[in-house]
Amino acid sequence: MATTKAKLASALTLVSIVLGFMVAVQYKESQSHSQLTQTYSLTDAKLKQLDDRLKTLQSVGQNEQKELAQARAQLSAYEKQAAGSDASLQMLQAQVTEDRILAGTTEVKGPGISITVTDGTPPAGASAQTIDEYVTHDWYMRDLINELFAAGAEAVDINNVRIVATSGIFCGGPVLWVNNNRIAAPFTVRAIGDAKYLKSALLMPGGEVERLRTLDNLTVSPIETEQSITMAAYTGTTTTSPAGSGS
Amino acid sequence: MEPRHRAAIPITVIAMLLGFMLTVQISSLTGKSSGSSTQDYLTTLTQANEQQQENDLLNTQIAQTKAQLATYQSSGDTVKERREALLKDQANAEAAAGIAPMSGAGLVITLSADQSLPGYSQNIKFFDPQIVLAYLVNLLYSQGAAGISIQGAAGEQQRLVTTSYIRDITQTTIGGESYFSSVEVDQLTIPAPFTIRAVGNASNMQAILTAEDFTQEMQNFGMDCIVTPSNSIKLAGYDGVMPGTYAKEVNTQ
Repeated sequence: MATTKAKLASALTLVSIVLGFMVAVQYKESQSHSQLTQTYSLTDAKLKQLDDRLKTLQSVGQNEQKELAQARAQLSAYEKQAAGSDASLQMLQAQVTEDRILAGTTEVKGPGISITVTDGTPPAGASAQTIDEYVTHDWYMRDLINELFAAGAEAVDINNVRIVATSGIFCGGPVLWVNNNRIAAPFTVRAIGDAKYLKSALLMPGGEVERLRTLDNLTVSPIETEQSITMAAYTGTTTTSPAGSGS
Repeated sequence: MEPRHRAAIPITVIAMLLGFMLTVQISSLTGKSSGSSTQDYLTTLTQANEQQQENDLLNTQIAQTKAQLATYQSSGDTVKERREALLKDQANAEAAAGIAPMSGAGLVITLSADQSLPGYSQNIKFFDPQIVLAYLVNLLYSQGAAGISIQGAAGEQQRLVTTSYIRDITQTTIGGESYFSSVEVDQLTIPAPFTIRAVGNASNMQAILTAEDFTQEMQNFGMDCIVTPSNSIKLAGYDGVMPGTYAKEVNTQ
């Protein structure tokens, strides 16, 4: 009996020690977790306030886009008016339009092609390094766009973000940054130009599409010929001329 | 009866401790879901900051366009006055497009093959100017370069614009090693050594080149890379093919 009691007592003591240890560890962990989240102690009200602010900013942004489009359309109308029926002024006005198309600061429309590139499918159980070989990196997009301009594209956009001279394309983790816009895969690149020529330039043996598919392991859609592509104007900062100041 | 009572006490204590642990575990799970609302807050904050930045850029563009409109609204009806208004408009459009020459502070970067560099004999054949120049240009634009040109050995300078492209074209053999030594930039052949001029914030541009270890990377290829800040860089204006054959301006009015 005494042995049984002693055994029971020892067992209970051991269990209590282990339990006590586990309680202490658990409590300490929950304390450090609440310290970590302390800085971001959030209420629904704060989140809602920020959400409202975002919606307001988005609404303001949409109105500003409309205002800018209206102002540009007015400018185009004034230019045509200024040109009137004078041949030399009409030629000047046409040059201004071409300059704006080159700068990317005007909405444009025309025939062309579109192509969509997205990450490839790595083999099951692939290592992180192998998975990286199937990801759409920024340099693939730069190479593709370079090839399109070499083939005579007059305007290019990627996920509706217009490419201009100063456009940088960078990896930002799982997304790409283009002109300070975040875009995510799949990446649809559209180009306005001679569709037949653009398509054959991309599809030539050893060309860009073959390289993206076979060497870069990406998933590339068939190239679509488009009768009419409309591209939004670039709305970032541009260089202005002191000679062109309005006042 | 007595042994049972005695056993009940430690069992009760153990049960209470287990209950306490369960409570702590459940409340830390609740803490984890407030962690996900932290994630929502941070995501929304990032989106709000990005939208604010975009709105600021739009405001700048609206102001510039309205200033150009004011030029037309205040000009008279004579051919001379209308021409002046159009010329002012054209000046802005040419500056934005890269057709107007540009000058200002910035960086000058030269790339030239150097046989004395340790990396030359093994690695020069891997030097691909199309890839390197495109990468360099992207880095410079990321730091706000307002204009960039590429110049070759014969002095020809090509200003980069929206429709610019860079392609490898010919190889050269020096010291028994062949490498791509010429590129085509907008139908202009540009042979090495290459001089890249960028107008913009020199210290920002220099910082990104340092962060990317660009000079060392070039030396590993056997290419000498010299980066020089300058207060008076001049970029030629673009005078190549203009768009407008296929891409037409949309008039919304």
